[in-house]
Amino acid sequence: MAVTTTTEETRRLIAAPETRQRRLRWGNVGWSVARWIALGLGLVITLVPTLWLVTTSFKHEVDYLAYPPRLIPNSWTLDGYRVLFERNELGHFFMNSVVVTLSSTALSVLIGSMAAYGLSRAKLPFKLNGILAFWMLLTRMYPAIVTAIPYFLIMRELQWLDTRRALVFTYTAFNLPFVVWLMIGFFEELPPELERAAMVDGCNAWQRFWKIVLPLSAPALVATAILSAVLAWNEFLFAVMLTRIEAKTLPVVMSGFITDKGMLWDQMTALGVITVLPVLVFALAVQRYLVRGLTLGAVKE
Amino acid sequence: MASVLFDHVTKRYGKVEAVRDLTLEIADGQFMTLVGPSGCGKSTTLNMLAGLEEVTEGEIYIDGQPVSGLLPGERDIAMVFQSYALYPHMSVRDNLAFALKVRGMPKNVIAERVQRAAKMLGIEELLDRKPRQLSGGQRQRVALGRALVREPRIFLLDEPLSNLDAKLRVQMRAELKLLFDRLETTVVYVTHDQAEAMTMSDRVAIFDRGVLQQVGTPLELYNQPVNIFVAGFLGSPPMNFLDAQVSDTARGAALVGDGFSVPLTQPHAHLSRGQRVTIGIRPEDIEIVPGGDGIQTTISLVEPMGSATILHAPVGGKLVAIETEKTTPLRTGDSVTLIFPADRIHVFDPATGVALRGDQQRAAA
Amino acid sequence: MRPGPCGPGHSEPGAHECACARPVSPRSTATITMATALPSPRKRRFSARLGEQPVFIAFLLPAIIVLAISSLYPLGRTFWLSFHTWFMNQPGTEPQWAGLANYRAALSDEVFRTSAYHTAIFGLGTVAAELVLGLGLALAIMTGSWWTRVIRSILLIPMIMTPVVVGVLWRILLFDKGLVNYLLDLVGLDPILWFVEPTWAFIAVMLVDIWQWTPFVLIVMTAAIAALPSEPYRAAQIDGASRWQVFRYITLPMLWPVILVTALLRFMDAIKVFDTIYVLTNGGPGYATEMLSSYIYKQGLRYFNIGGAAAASWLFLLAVIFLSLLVIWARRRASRSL
Repeated sequence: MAVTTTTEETRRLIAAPETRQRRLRWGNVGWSVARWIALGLGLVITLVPTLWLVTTSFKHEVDYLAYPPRLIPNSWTLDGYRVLFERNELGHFFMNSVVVTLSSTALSVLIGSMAAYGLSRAKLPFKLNGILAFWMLLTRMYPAIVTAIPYFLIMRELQWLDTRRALVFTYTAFNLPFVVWLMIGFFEELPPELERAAMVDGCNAWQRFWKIVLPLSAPALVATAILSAVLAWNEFLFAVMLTRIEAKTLPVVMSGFITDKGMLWDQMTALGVITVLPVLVFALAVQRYLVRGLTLGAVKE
Repeated sequence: MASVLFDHVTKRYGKVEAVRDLTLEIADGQFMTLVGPSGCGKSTTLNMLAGLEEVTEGEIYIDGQPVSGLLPGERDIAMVFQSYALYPHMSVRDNLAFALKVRGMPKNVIAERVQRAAKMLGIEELLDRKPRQLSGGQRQRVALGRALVREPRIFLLDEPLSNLDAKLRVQMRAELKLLFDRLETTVVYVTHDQAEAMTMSDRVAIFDRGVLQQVGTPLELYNQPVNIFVAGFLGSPPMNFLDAQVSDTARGAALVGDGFSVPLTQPHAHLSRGQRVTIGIRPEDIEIVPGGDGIQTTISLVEPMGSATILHAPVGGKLVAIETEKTTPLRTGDSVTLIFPADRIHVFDPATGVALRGDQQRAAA
Repeated sequence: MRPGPCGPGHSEPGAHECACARPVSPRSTATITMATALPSPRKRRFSARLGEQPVFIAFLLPAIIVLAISSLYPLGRTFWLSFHTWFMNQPGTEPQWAGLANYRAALSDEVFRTSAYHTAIFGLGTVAAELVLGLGLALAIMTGSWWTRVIRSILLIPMIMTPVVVGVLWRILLFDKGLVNYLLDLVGLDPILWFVEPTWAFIAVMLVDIWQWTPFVLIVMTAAIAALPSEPYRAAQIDGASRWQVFRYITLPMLWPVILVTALLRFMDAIKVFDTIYVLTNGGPGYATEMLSSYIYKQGLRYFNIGGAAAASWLFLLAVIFLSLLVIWARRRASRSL
């Protein structure tokens, strides 16, 4: 039932349906102008702040405090980066972010897709399927802050404060409901006959999951993994709450500059660039999947 | 190679009965076709045999062994799905080999079996392609191949040809028949296409609304349908049905309806006077005569089919289809005289739809 | 679907057909996306044999354990703590039963009420703006040529940026002698003391959120529009509908379910706001930009008033549960009415 969707032509029709000849001329001119203004403004408003972040990190103090402000400095310098690295164990914090992000992403995708498979295939009694699904939804919806304090207490009792494993566990748990939610939708859309065929071929549930379902879900898995990774990399609330010195991630280090370093904008933006650059490059490189993950997440019930 | 027995099998989904009290035997090496309109229970029956659906009541036996506790993979069956269900992420070779790998067969045996199946189906050149690089017909062959390499006791085929275009379907129909004739394995074949059922099967089982209507060879079903449903389901264009009553005429007892009269002969002689019946006659059984005694009517529509021509003409209030040779000179508006040969008439009870045949009633009694 | 001027016969969308589009391969994700956004047909699901039930439950177990530790237990403990008085910074003290005192205290606390009010206004204001801007940009971007794809990639940037960095960046841009005030000066307006004036501070945090999250709406809307069936548009073309009529009577009604869900999801996310505010204003000046998240955080981890924070948490949670149920209800209604 291949309905005509997503074709180039459809998009054109939606964007610029050719209207009746008489109206066509003025309508089209007005629309084109409005379109260009909208896109132009969008680009400027997005790009100027982004570039500002980058160029400020290469400015001397005279330039970043100059009025009128300048996007392009009179002279470029690497001082911000140099001082930043000299005064901080940045490599260590960077590795914290990397390790925490990668481990929690791998764990949440693994545990989450298994749970999604179980939930989409099992017929549980007492409407448990629905209850579990609602629980997942709620966990994704409620503000994490409402569990923050007991969570902090648990971690303190476990003596996990200021450890990477505390953050790995936290982000795994954070991303789980989201992975489950996305993957359930995907698993339910897989053609049921593929699994039937695998059953006839002699696969048990475990084999079906690893040999048929997961390989077929690769695009969705990648999409959810990317989104989980971006969220884990950027997370701040629990990171600032659960870490002090050893296990700080980049956002926490960044926030430290606000409170005690005044207006060291060159260092702050340098750290900003270091924090944002990996995730930005990564996300734009795999943009197709990122977009897919986002849209799946948004239009799922 | 195996026989199958459905023993009073019922399948319910909640309160809906998908299959009701099915008893059906399939002999070793037989090509059995389950046919019927969509939702008639034929696919559910196949899935129960495969082990993909659980039996609600009754038991299924393969070679005399009850199988309801067995998973599909433990039943030694192979299945071809309507959508082919090829694993999209595996090459054709891996698709064929998958079930054997899962069963832990030695590599050389797998390679040899895959090679043999591929050769049998003429898909040797496709072995390293992915399913999405194949045409519909090629996918169909791969799906078949995946079943062949298994060398199972029973082949289950669920509408395997319905995703092919008309021309390819006829070609594959013949190929499948040849293939399974050669393999001599038991085949259970599900289709909604009566042509496939008629041409390929040793025996056909017709289903309607979850109930098995009739089992027999294709010609038995065609020539001696037990009810109106079976009579109307097989044959294209379908059998004509007209209301009639058993009456006495100047020439003796006859089936008299609006605009026609057919002498009452064997095997319907047992019908009592005054009984209301539905008579059925196939389009190819109606004779057109030059004139004289018969049903006078005017042709209202001519449909040249190529190999034959179908005429439509009103008899009483109803339009009747008549199959005639392709060279017929008759045109719309021509007057014709029709004869319903008495020995070609099927008679049914209008209330229950059951065929009223003296010999069958005797057999039943 | 409202019958538009384009003739009822033609305006009947192929949306229903689209809804049951079943992907043959997992590649056609756009169809999947919309298939769930539009009324779902009866699901032809693969159902497990009963014999395999325990295996599927085993699949579920790890996730259930993780979530029990990370969500169920903390929620329960928050609930318990909310009925106790406990100041964590006083060593050796134990939580003391306090009944509803914490709830009473929270509800009568001016700062809590202001925070709740701020959170609601913040959520409504940003989401409304993001929806309008995002949908507008999505329509403007909608031709699928290579340069619109490039533009879309660029417009994605704010959403991916680490919120803390976004906060720092805008702190610099909104600085008294920063870029924004310079631009205001250029067009002849007085500079604004963004972090001194309460109203402007609130507007500032909203603007930053809008800057960061409009791309999200843009992405979702672009995907949703791309997955719309083309038949109604052809029909409208034949009927000679104007561009505005096409948008008003075809695009908008068909997008409605997605818009609704996006709005509610964004709202849920917006009211969680913490990091950008922590960096930008830290709730100030005074309590001008205090939100529920920052209120609870401060109560708990700055003033160590654990019971008070817990009570505020549960009040917040109840509001969110109510909204979640609303999401589901609205979602069902939206798919039914289409």
